[in-house]
Amino acid sequence: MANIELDIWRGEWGLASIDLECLKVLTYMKFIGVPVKVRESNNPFFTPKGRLPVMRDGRTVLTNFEEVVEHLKSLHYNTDVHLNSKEAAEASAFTQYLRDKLYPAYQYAWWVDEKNYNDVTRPTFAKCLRIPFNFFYPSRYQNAAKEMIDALYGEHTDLREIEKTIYSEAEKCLKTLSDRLGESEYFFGNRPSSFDAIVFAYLAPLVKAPFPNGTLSNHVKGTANLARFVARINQKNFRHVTDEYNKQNAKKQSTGSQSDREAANFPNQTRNKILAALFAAIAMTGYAVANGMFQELKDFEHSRDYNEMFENEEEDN
Amino acid sequence: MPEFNLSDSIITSLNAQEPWPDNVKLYQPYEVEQILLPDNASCLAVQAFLKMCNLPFEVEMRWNAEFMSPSGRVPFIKCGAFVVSELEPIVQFAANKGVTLCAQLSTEEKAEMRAYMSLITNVLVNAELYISWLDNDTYNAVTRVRNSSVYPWPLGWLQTRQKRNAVAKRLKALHWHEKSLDQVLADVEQCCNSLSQRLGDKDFFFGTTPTELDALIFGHVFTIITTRLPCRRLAETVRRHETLVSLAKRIDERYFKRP
Repeated sequence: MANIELDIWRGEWGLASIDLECLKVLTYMKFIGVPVKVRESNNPFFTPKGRLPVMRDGRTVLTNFEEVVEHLKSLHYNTDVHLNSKEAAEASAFTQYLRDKLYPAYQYAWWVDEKNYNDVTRPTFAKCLRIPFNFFYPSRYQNAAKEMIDALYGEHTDLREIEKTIYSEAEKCLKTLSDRLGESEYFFGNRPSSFDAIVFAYLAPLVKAPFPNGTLSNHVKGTANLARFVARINQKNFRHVTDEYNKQNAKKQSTGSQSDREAANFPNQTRNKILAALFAAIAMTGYAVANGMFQELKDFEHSRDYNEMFENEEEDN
Repeated sequence: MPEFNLSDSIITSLNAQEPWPDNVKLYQPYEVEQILLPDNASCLAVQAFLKMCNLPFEVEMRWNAEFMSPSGRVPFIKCGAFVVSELEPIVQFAANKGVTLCAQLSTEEKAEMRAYMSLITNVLVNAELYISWLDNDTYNAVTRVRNSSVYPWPLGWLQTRQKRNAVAKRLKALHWHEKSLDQVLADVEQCCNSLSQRLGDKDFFFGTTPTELDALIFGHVFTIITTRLPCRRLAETVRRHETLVSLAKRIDERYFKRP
């Protein structure tokens, strides 16, 4: 029996993971029902390629979605058995289409749009990572996203132009997806395939993440059958995650009084106050010593002894 | 959002009032000495599309075609007061004038067509760029010579290096730079597999009349199998898919042979 472990970024807002690639792999595994031990490691530092997710199965270490699908296929776990070769070709074409049109928009909304980045993305990632990693990983991802947008749309110099072009391409892509899905439950028949996992991974964060600049999110939510698609998969496969999130949310809202909420946000208030006072006292003492104030006191003491010595001598004389 | 739609719709309505003019010119780099594999494929694809639509045009060759183009990429057409570059915008432009090849397709088929066109742009175009610019044999023997042939010596060297850096940066951002030649060819193989699966043994991808997808495939497949490069493997990989090769030959017979 395979012993599969998966390291991912943790989830937020009712999602199982905040990262696109991790969510792809997780959703796919949920579809097949393969037993996997999921670990929210939140630390890409020790990974072979410098990014999560990382799937370990005995000796094999795999880092991206396609490799994972291949590997699971070799272990005879496969969701795509019900696709004939034409549908498989179509699925691969559509995957490329998403990567061409939707992925730049996704990266733009998450990393390049300044307001979204500062208000949502960076705090979320910073919460996951420990010091010192939370200083450089978010900015590294931001630079990678900016470079990609530059490579694809570099000839426009105005960021707003680029934003308009990217979002309009993405909207066309969403419309195409919606046309393809129609009223059916999944994209290829009644059973989920790897393509459904990919689409869910793209759309779910856009639906759930509370972006201030939510053009793309609004468009996804506005496309009825795509929103239903996301909700359906969430219900079926990620119910425990959404339930937990809803419980947490309800708890935060039910603690009505200000002090209670403050206590929830700052659990160690007293301890922090004492530490702060101690730190201030040490700092001030150190400054005093450095300035020689104690030296003066000492001099005063010494001078008294010195006078006493002379007093005695004078008396002798 | 409203800003964008308004200007777009103004252009569309201005466009639709005029029929296709007689003196449309298609600009591309010199075919014999200068043009490179990826550009040649794009130019052929656009030419095929215009021929399929029965829209008359003339080919004009300029050494600085890529700088004349509004988006920096060839080919581009000058149609009355409008300059439009690259296949997708040109298809849109023709559609605004009421000329389209995919009128009889259902919305689902149109969606499929767009997906396949994306597949080609993502895989074949990047593979062509990779082989022309990042594969050392091809770069030294073919690309560098052809690209700098139109400039006097020091400028040619600088220009080619600059272009190479730009292409490398783009491929790096799309995660193609770190692929080995074998991986690139494997991707091309998979892409061609998908395409020939979908084509089956039909004449064209969607029925008996060609669409812009057929034009795009023709452009790339024909260029790849007829260009002689030091690295033969790309041509061999594509040539193995006989349905695609026969599609390219069929389109060539029908639209490009002079009577």
